Order: sequence, then structure tokens, then C-alpha cells
Amino acid sequence: MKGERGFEALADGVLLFLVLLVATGVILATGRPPASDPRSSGVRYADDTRLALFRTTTDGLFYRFGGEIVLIPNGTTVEDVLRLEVHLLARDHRGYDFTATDARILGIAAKLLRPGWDLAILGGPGANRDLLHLPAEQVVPANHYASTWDYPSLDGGPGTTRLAVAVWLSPPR
Amino acid sequence: MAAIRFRTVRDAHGTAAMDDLTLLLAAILAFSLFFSALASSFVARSTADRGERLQEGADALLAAVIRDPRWTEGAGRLVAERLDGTTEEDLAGLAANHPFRVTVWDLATDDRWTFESDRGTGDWRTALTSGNVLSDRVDPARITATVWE
Repeated sequence: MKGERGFEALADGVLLFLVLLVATGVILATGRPPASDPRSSGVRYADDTRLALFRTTTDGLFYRFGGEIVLIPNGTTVEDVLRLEVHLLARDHRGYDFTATDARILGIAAKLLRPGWDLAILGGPGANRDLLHLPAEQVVPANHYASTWDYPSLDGGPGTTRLAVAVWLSPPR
Repeated sequence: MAAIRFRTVRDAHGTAAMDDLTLLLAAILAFSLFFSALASSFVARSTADRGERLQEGADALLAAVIRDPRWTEGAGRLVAERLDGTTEEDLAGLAANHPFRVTVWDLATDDRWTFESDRGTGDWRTALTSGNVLSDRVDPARITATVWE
């Protein structure tokens, strides 16, 4: 038979165990280093990538219109080519063919990207209408980082042209 | 054959000792858990702090490199001609006395400019971003900064 002192000792032991268990939980919970916010660095990377891509100059680009090839002057920046593309597509969505030019621009973008990242280039005359979506089959995941810029319309009209670069970790985290 | 008979003997001191032993075992278990949690928490925190400081160093070095007017014309626009004349000593001040390596990679021509101090031996972190190299045209570039402890 266990004496009264024995039960007291057991109760003390259990109490001590519980107190230290709680303390351990508190230490493990508060001692965990705070996770760094990937959002700000992702947005900064999207900005840097958009700027680097858009500033790049190109040679030998062209587009087709009504069976004719229209040459884009050498030294034109990717930004100006994309603005022109959005502008022309807004006028006649089916008449212009920028397939070869889009492939070249995507090639430059693919080189710029860090390994493990994916990218899409979006553009349109308004905030909610994408006439340009490169690559066409690319689905932009919900948790992407985007860098967007609005430009005045090329014909001096009241509208604006919006160009955006979206980047994300592939597979998305 | 004589039968062996056992007789239970309960000694008061023995019972008390067993009770104390229970308490001792509970205390040892609880303190072991507590101090191992404390130690692992301390190690995790200090490792994370060290990594964070290194990453901040790499980010700061990268930000300084892509903005330094000695070899850029605006943020992220590095001039090829000026990079040719740049040395490790020019970048040493930006790395806050850490061993470092900075690489500018022109993705159109595949030219690379690498600036490297004495290689560190410990932990390291890398920061990477996109930019341009300016010559008679504007090429896409990848700029990488690595900092060692």
C-alpha cells in the first residue's frame, strides 16, 4: 500500500511534469524563427524582370498583316514592340500575326528567369481585358507576383495600354 | 523436501524510497524535455538569425551593385565598357568585409564579368536578379551576388 506521502510525491511529480510540458510548448512555439515574407522579394523580382525584359533591344522582328510582312526597326525595345502589338490587336484582333515576334520575346524572357520560375506576359487596352497573353496556353496561378505598367495610347487616344509581367515559382509554393 | 515459504516484508523506508524514485523519474523526464526544447529552440533561432543576416548582406550587395554609378546608368543598367574596368577592390566596400562573389551574365552574348574576393569557407547566401548590360544595344542580364560568413 502506498502511503500518504507517496501520493503527495506522485502528485508533485505529475504537476512538475505538466508545468514543464507547458513551458516546453511555449518555448517551441515562440522560439521558432519567424518565416521571412516571400511576398516583397517576389514582387521586387517581378519588377526587376519586367524592367530588364522591357528594356532589352531586339533585331530582326516582324509581324504579318494581310499576307504582308512588316519589319520592326532594329534596336526597338521589347516594351515598344509589346505596346505596338497590343495597340494593333486592339484595332484588329485577328488581322495581325505576331507569332514569330512573340516566340523571340518569350525566348529572351525564359533566359532572364531564375531556374525554377515561370513567367507570363499580359497586356491589353484596359485593366480587365487581356489581348496579349504569352505563352497563350500558360495558366497564371493565383499566387503569382506581378509587375504592371500603364502607358498612354500610341495613337494619342484617351485609353491606356497596360503591360504586365507575372512570375511564379514552378510548381507554385 | 521442505516447502519454501515467502513472507512479504514492508519497510517504511523502502516505501518512501520508491515514492521518491517516482518523483525523481518524473522530474528527470520533464527536465529532459524542457532543456532539449530550450536547446533546440536556441540553435534554430541562432541559425535562422545567421542565415537572415547573410541573406540581408547578399541582398544589400546586389542592390548596391545594380545601382552603383561607377558602372551603371540607372538601376539595373550596367555598362559593359565600365564593367571591363571594374575590379574586386571596387566592390569590396559594398560587401561589408564579407567574402563575396558578384557575377554579371550577359544573356545575349554569354559574356560574364565575375568579381570575387577570397572565397569564404562557412555558410553562404545568394541573391539574384534581372538587369541589362548596355553596349551598342541593350542585352538582358542576370546579376548574382553571393556572400560568405
